[in-house]
Amino acid sequence: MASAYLTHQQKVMRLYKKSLRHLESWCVFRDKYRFYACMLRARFDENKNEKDMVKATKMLRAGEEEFWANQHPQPYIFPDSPGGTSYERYECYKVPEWVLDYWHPSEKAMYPDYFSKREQWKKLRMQSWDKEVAQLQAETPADGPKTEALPPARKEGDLPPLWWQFVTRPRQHPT
Amino acid sequence: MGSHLVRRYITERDTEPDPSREFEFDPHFGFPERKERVMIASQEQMNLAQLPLEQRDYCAHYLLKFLKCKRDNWPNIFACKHERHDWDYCEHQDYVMRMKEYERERRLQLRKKRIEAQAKAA
Amino acid sequence: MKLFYACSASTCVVLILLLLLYPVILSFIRSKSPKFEIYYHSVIALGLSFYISMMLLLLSLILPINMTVTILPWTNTDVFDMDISLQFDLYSVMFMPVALYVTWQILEFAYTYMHADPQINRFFKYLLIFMTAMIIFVTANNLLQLFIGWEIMGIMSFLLIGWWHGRADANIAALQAMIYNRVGDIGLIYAMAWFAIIHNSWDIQHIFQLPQNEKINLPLIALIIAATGKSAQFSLHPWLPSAMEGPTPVSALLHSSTMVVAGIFLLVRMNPLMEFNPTILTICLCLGALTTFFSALCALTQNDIKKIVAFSTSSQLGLMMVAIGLNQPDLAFLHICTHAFFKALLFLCSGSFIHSLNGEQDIRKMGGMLYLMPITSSCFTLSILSLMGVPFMTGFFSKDTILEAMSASYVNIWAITLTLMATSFTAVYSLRLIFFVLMGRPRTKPVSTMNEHDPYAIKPLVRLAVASIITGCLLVHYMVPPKMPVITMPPILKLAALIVSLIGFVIALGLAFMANKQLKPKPPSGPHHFSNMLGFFPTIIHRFIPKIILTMAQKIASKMIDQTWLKKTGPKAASNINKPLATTTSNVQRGMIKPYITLFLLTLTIAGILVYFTIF
Repeated sequence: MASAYLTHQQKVMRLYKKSLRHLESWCVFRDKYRFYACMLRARFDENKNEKDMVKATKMLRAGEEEFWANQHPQPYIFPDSPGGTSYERYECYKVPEWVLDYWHPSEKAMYPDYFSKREQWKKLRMQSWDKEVAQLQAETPADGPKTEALPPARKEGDLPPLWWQFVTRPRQHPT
Repeated sequence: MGSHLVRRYITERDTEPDPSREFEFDPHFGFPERKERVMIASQEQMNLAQLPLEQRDYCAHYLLKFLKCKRDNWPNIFACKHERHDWDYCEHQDYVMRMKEYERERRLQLRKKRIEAQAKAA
Repeated sequence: MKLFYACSASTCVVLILLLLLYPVILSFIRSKSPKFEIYYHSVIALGLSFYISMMLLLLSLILPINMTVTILPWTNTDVFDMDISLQFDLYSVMFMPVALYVTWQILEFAYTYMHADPQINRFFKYLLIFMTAMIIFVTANNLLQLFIGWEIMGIMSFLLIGWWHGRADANIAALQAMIYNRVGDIGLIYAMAWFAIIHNSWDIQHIFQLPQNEKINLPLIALIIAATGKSAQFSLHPWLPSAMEGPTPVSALLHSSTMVVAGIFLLVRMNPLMEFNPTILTICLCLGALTTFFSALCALTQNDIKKIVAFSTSSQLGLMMVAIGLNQPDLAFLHICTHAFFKALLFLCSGSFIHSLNGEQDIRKMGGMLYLMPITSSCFTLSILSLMGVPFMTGFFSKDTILEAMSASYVNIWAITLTLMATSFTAVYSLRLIFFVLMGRPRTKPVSTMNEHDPYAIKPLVRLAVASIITGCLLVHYMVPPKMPVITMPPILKLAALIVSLIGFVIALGLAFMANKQLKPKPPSGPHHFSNMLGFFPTIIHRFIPKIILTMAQKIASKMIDQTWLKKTGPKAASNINKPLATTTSNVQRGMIKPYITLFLLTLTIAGILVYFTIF
């Protein structure tokens, strides 16, 4: 883990969440899980006001070690999350949206609403593209971007950078 | 299940008979009046029924009856319970007899060993 | 009569093959077909083929003999004859209706399960091609025909495991299945080559005429390797649980009921060769016992419902292998047939659960299905009971007989112990499935849209459930065993399998109710890890060994080739040799007067000595 970049608080919070997930994997039944989750919360809460950083770091370390010793070899993973059973399952049916531009006019005529809206979007994109790029260039530091998250629109009337990708994202499940 | 394996591999390794070989002792030894079994189903009958080799045993005549009954009652697969039972019972008797023969062979082997040991001691 | 039988039998098989291939060919001819067209065609094709094969089955009741029908010559050279010929014996005639029935139901179910899939036509096409290959394999009378069926099944398995090819794990699983099966294929090819070279024939009936001596061990071991690969026996097993990446109908059809038994079927077919060969039989027995025990052990702590069922399949395959090792191929075959029904049902029911939970496969997040999906749950329970060998269910007739034959026989005690333990484990993980999936309160997400209104999803389950109650009884009455099963044994042995199952069941019940208590969550223990991590087998084989090889290769490439050979002995050595020479030479010629005079004197002396010795 990129521990050097995280604050102490973030580390403790991640440890707590991780521990809860693994506890859930061990305790299948909800009532039992609830009980032990409360116990776990109590253990974290006990020392939440610790001001001595040396002591707090040592406690965090002990916590991480305890977690490592008690972790579940097959923790529960949500089906759609990485490592889950249906993660990326429908990836092969996703078609890039530019394919729509190559539809035959007769085919396009079958979905008049969508394609008229699409034409408007395309116009909008042409208008705002330069502004988006300018905003991105202005906000990116000289030594490359610090984060993968895209910035929101800053000015009134502007569109958020690279909004096209969100509007035209292929659907998650095939129909 | 376990006893014969214990005897074969641990306790009585030299006297345990091997069922895949011919037995050593004369079948009439101790049973002078016993007669050799006779095969009831003839070779011709079994050939006509196209019995596989491993089924041409001393119970083959029951099997032939069973197969005939099966054929007569086609396509009722639940028929011929009695014939099937006769055949199974015959096979069972055969199995028990073979086990008894095996036990006899084993005890005779033990006896032979004992006699030899006494002769050596004397 | 015989001629009539031969004609009708071969006509039946050819008809079945044509029926199965018709939708596939149709889709080649027509460029674009409506979405479910292939589905309708294939269901009709499978239904018809099932009835045709039933006719064949009924016909074969009158003539309980092996028959070989040569349809047409294939290649006839001076030294090697090969015909397209079909074999109609107990095995092929009985397996066809079983496989067709199971496939039919699975296809009907797949309609619901794969409803949203854009490529559904291709999916059914694959299944039909697979079924054709299976029929070719089962009826083959020469090794090449058998091999063709075997390979097409392998390819279809690869394509269907990697059905969702956008998913990295699915691709890995598909490749894994391919590579593990390749090892088995090498075995089969080796055996074929051996028979071709030594015996000059690929005809199975000819091969059986071979003299039974020690030399035949080699091809027989190759055949066992082939079966090990295809039927996921121990050491080549990890592909089977990974194959669960495919859609559930595929797991139900290929990876539980039909394709994976092909390896066992091969050994059943080839049994006359290994009948009197104790070495080979012992290898089969021990391999089977190890597989059934190990897989059952792995199934104990898995949490993915499909993984549990996959391991139980592997365990049952091991049991079939044990039956072959006991020299009871008929029992192995009977277990193949009965297993197809209840395992397909088990998979379809779990598929139904997964489908209604939107792809959730973890049994920790199921529960309470009994109230939400009562019909599916009942079918699930029935198939599990059948799997456990509860008396008079389908599984009982084959499983119990195998265990009886084993415990009454004169074979390796370790194999017997392992198999009996695996039997009790079967009860344990079956109960675990029921306990976590069906009983208790739902632990699913609150928004669930599950219902049982769709008749296409329920009918196949009910039909298979009926089949997994009655077929055992039917098959046993149908079969007149060519090899006598053991029928004489003391009551304790007769009941051994049942007792062991019961013990497992009771222990599991106790443990399951303990899990519900507010006990402290147990710290992970060694045995749990061993079982949960699949015995560390994939870790060792897929990680450790490649890592060693990689490190070694790296060492060889960088240290040995680059640094030692190409550097130390190549340029470095040349420079190292030349350097002293150059230094010596250049040291002399540094413009100093003393070395020059010394050299001058030296040459003068040598010249003087030479002149002196030449003159005088």
